[in-house]
Amino acid sequence: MEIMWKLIDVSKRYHTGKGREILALDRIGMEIYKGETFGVIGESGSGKTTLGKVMVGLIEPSEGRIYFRDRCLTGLKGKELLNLRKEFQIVFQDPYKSLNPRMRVKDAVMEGIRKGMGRKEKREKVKELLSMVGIEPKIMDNYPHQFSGGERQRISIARALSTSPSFIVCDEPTSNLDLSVQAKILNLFMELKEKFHLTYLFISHNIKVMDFIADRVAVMFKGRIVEYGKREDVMKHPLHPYTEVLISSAFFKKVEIIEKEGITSGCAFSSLCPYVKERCYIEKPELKEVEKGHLVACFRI
Amino acid sequence: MEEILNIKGLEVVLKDIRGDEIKILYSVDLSIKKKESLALVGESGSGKTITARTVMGLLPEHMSVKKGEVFLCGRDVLKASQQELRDIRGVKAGFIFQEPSSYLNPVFTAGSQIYEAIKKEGLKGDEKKAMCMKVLKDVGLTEDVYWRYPHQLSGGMQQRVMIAMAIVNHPFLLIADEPTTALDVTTAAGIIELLKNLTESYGLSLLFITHDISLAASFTDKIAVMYAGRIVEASHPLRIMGSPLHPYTEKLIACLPERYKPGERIKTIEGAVPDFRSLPEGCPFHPRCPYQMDICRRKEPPAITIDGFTVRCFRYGDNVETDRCE
Amino acid sequence: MKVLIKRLKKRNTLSYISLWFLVFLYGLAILADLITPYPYDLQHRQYALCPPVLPHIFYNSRLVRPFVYGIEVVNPALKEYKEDTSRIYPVRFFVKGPERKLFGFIKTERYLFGTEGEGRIFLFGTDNQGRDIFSRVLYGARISLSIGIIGVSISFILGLLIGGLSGYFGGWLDTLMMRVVELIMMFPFFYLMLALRAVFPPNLSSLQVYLLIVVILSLIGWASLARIIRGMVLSIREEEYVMAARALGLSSFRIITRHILPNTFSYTITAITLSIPDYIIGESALSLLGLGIQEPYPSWGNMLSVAVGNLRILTGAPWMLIPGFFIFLTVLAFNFLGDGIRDVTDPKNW
Repeated sequence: MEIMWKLIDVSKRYHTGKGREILALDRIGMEIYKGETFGVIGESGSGKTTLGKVMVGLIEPSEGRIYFRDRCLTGLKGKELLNLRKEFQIVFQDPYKSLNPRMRVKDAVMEGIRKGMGRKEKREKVKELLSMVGIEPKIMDNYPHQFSGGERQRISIARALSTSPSFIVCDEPTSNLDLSVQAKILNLFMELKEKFHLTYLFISHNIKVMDFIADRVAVMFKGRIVEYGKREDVMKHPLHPYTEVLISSAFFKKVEIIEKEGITSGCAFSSLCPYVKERCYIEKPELKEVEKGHLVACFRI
Repeated sequence: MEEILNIKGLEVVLKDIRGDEIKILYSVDLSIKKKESLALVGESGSGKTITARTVMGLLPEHMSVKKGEVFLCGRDVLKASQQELRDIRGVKAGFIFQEPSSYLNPVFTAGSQIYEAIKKEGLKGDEKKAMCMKVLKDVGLTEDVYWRYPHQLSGGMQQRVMIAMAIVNHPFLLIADEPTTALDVTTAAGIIELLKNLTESYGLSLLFITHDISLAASFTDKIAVMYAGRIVEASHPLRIMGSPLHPYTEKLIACLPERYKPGERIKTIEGAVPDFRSLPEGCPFHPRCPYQMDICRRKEPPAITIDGFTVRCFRYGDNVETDRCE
Repeated sequence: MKVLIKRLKKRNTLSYISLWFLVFLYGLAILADLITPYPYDLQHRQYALCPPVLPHIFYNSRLVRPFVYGIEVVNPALKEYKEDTSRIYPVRFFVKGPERKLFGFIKTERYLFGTEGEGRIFLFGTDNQGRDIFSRVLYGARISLSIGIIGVSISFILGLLIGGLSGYFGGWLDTLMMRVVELIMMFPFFYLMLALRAVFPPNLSSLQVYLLIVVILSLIGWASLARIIRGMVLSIREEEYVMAARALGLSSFRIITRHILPNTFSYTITAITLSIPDYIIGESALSLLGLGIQEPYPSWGNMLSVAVGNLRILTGAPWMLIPGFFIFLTVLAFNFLGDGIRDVTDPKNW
């Protein structure tokens, strides 16, 4: 399996005014293979969105190295970076905010198409892209507010495809959509993946969607990856206590979380963990391979 | 057993710029008994929020009730004066909404907002404060939350404060409009657990609005599915999830990703939810319905009750005609 | 554009009326050459400080062609005048008068309307040098109204540029620019204006003075606009569609011009409309103090300067304040128009 992305010790720090620091990403290390759908599960504050944005170059990491097809991306600037940007695109969560309200839909999709094509050719390409996502080309002169949420999301997808990328970050693309619309968009993602041999980073807090669409998953909590492996392994035999909690909550099974106060220098989950021990408050667990391809960061194992 | 909430034949219309009246809710019937929880499930545009707003008496200006009655503890809310409505709100029925941070005033402490919500007369300051502390405990928060400002609280805690404000007067009914949609999965689970407990400990009835049918099925006593301003099916959760009666419910459940193996294509519903300005003739779902018959195109199916379950579909009851067509 | 105007008409009638009123005023200013009955510098010495001479259309209760009565000078020292009903001068079109150049190059002796012989049609009266105020108001409109538009355009461009770059790139550029802005905003507008004018020699040709005023006003005005634009750019920059544009690999220039700045327009257009009056008043104030447009060229400000401070004129010849009334109307109209534009361009109202 060809490795498309390799992240080594990627961290991102934000400084808040009072001299405090927020670690949005804490030494993330992972690999994404070509052609797979890599799922990232987490709740708010987990860093999953930051991860997606760091990968497409919208946010600079504070530390660490990112490799795309063996090329080191960190430190790349200017024209080289701009060119490489076209290889990876992003689709956002909120279909109402991800399109410029003052731009016609056809112009929004046309922007990313490679230079060197005549205007007429570009228009044709836009029509092609829109039909592929299920939008009738004849309404391409309309403005975003004239479309529904599901349609706008499709337009965002068309825009992402306009640069002919090989990799797309899908940041909670269906979380704001109705159930029936979500189903269609998920189907669309799968179709496009087959048709264009795409690789996805699929970010979501929805376990059920993740169980359906992902090949491998990483579970994130407060900026760290706490569990990582093949979808079946993580979903059916979760090893990390947090993963267990997530899956139970998603299937509406009762879950006991008692919140204990106090900041620790150890495991970020220690204040909520039902199996917490002394060691967890002091040391930070590292990702360890427990079974083939299934890693977890926990002292319990 | 007397019903806490009883909605009969509710019709709500919208007056557009040209003065035309457009129907938004069409003959909605539902009832909730004491300590019962009913989930109103639907996608956007189904009318579920409008139904809840009507019960609260909080319809937007351009919308009005054309027909129907809404009985809350035996009194018709629609005929109530402004003064009477004020007495009902918070006392007979409490409300919680989707984004707790928008509904809590950022310049007042959580405690003072609960304090303000107390409507019982003749209580001294200390007694009111004690009530606040008790209700904070009942919603699973610690006493120190009383002095905290909303921005110092997490999303889940803010939602619990809202719940506290809604139940402090021991209302009969709690109306919850998508209370967990904006919350994390784990936090949401806690809120649902809390609501379940409160139906017992406070003797509350619950009207729970959501778009998530599996969430509704996991804890409520009854589910009513809405489509295009009508209740198309109302039934027991197990029944609905196992063998749904109405084609829309059937197809909606088929959209749940957990019902598929990875790699399979999800069976989606053809077409899109119609704009309420241009609803089709006859049954509003028929253009998207795989079982559509001739009569579906011509007439609106009436609500039929079988075994205590309600459905609006010509496939049931005596209206099934022999000339079927696809 | 047409859509906006239509919407304006529907929502805010006052604003709509103001729009057309301003169009009318600017039209008058442009066509001043054609409309005025007299050149702006023609002195009718014997009729200095003459009250308005309005045409009559009834004679002996019959509707007749408009005419004016002659002016009888009752007391030349005290500048008292009376209508002389014995002399009648019809108002004619295309009358002959002193030769002048229309728009600077078309030579003509004809005037759109006027009287012949001894007749005078001073619609707004005359000033202390006997010049027709109506004509001077129209010519003065050219200065006052154009300074507003030109000054604002320059400020607008500067403000967008600096505010946009500052907000988008941040860093040292932002810090530096904002300190400059604060420095400028620190000084009271009026005094800064005076100080800048005082730096330059008082005897400049009128054209030079005009340009100088425009430049001074723009250099002061861009600052507050830049700061607000910067604030808007800061927030728009974090919008998802801007991030999507960055992800597409578009250049910063394109992102700023196509995505960020257009989304500031609903504010900017309103801000501009509402700040034009400031420039008009600024010019008037400068002229009022003798630092603006010099005689004999009229501007509404310098016309007022003669009247203000001279009690005899104020009480005896109140028509000298008509330019002030025009300033008032213009400022009011721009304010109403600005309100309406703000309503109409706010996406929340769509």
